[in-house]
Amino acid sequence: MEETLNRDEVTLKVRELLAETLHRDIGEIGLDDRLEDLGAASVDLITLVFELEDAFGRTLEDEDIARLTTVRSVVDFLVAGGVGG
Amino acid sequence: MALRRVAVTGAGVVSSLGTDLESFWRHCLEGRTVVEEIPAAWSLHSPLRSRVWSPLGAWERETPLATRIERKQLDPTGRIALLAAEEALQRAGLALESADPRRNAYRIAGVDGERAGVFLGTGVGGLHSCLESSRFIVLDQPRRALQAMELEEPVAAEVAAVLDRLAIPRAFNPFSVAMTMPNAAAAALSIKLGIFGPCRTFSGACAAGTLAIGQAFRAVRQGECDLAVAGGVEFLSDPFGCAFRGFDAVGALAAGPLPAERINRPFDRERSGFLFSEGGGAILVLEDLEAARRRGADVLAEVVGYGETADAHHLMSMAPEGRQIRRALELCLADAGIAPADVGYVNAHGTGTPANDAVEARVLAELFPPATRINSTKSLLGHTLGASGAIEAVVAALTLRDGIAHPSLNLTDPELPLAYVREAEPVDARYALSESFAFGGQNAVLALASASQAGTFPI
Repeated sequence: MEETLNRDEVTLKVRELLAETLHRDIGEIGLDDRLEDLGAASVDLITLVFELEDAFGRTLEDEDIARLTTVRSVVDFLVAGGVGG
Repeated sequence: MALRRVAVTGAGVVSSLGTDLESFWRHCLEGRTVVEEIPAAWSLHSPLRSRVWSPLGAWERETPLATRIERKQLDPTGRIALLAAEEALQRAGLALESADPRRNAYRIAGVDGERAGVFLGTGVGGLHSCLESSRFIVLDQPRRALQAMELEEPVAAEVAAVLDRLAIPRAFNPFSVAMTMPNAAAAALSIKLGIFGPCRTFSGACAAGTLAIGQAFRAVRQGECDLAVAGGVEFLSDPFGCAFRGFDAVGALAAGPLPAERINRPFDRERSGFLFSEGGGAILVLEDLEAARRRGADVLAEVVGYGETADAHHLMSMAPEGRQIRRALELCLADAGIAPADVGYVNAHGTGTPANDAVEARVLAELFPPATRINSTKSLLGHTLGASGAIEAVVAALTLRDGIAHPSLNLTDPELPLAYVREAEPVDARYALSESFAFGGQNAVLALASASQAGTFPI
C-alpha cells in the first residue's frame, strides 16, 4: 500500500533531487533558495519536473510548473496535493 | 606538413562477450558465443522466420561520466559510448579530471581538448529511444480509454494483462529528441570528455564503425587532431522487435532447422543469414604516434591505411561482382604502402548471409595469397551493425598484439578453400586488415600494423 510522505520527507526528497539534477551537494539547497539562483536553467527544470513526477507519482501541469519558483514552493505544491512514496 | 603516424593506444568494448577489453578478447579466443531465443513478446507482434538473437546481457555499469539522471537522458548508444570511452582512455593511460563539477564534465588530463576529436559511427542512432517515444504517443490514449471502461471479468483481467505486456511508459520523455538524434552519442563524448575539435557522426550502417575510425585516422595523420576518440555504437533492442522484424522480413537473419548454437556460420555453405545482435560498441584512442611515445604510452597497434568506396548499386544488396570491395581493399593497401602478400590476417566482414559471404570470399581469394588467415568476429558476436567495424578493428589490433587469432565458429564446409581460422591459433602477422560493407553500398577497409612493427620504423 502506498505510504503518504510527511512534509519533512517530501522536503528531503525534493532537495535530494535538486542536488542531483544540479550537480550540487544537498547542503547547498536551502528551502528558501530560488531555483533560478541555484543555477537551474530551463532544461534543468524539465529534468526536475520529470524526476518529481517519477518520485512522487504525480503529473505536473504547465500551470503548476510556472508556480515552482523556490524550493519551498515545490515542497508546498507536493504536500498540498498529497504524495505517495 | 609531413603525414604523422597514428597509434592505437587504448580500446574499450561493450559486447555480448564481455564489457571490458580483456574479458571480451579472452572469450573471443575461447570461441564463445551467446545465442538465445528471441524475447517472447516479439513473436506476439510479428510472424518471424528467425528465432534467435545475441543479447548483450547485463552491460551497464556505474561510471562517473553519467549520473543516474544523465543516464536516463541518454539513449543506450550514448551510454555504451561513454562506457567504452572510459575504458579506452584508462587503457591508454589517460586520466580524466574534473573540468566543471556543475555539469559533471571532465577533461582528458594532459590533452589539449581543442586538438582532440570525436569520430563515431552508428547504424540506427537513437532508434531505440524513438520507438520508446512512439510507443507512449501511440498507446497512451488507448490505455486511458481502456482503463476508464467499467469492464467485467474475465475481460477486465485480459485487458489488464494486455496493457501489462505493452509496458507503456509512464509519461512522454521530454528528452526524446536529444536521445533519438544520431549525433547524440558523439556529442555526449565531446561534452563529457571536454573535446572541442571535430565531433563527427558517421551513419554508414554496417560499415559505420570502420568509416569513423578511418576518418579519425586521416584526421590525426594529417594533423587536424592530435588525438581522436573513435569507434562505433549500436543498440537494436526494442519491446516489439521492430529492428529485428525489418531484417527478418528481407530474409537477412539466420534461420532454419539447425540448433541455435550452430545457426550462425559465416562463410560456411550451410549459412542462412546473420545472427542479430542486441548491439554493443567499441572505442579506440588514436594518437600521433610520436606524441604517444613521448608520453610513454603503450602502443596497441598502428593504423597505417584506409580505403573507402561505394557500390552505387542497391540499398540492400551488395554488387555481385565485388568490384568496389576489391577497390576499397586496393586503396587501403596503397594508402598503407603494402602489398597483399604483406597482410597476414584479415578480419572479414563475414556476416553469414549467403550473397555477401560469397562475394567477399571470392574477392579475398582473388586478391590475397592462399595462406592469408581470415576469420569472422560476427561468427561469435553476431552482427552489431554500426558497432561491428569498431569491435572488429579492436580484434584486429589484439590479434596483432598477441599474435593469435580467434576461431571462426561453425565453419565446417567453406565454399572457397581460404585459410580460415577454425580454432584459436598463432598468427604471424605484421599487418592486418579489417573490412566492413554496409547496406547502402559503403565499403571501408582499415589496415593496421603490429606495435612491434611500429617500433622498427624510424620516425
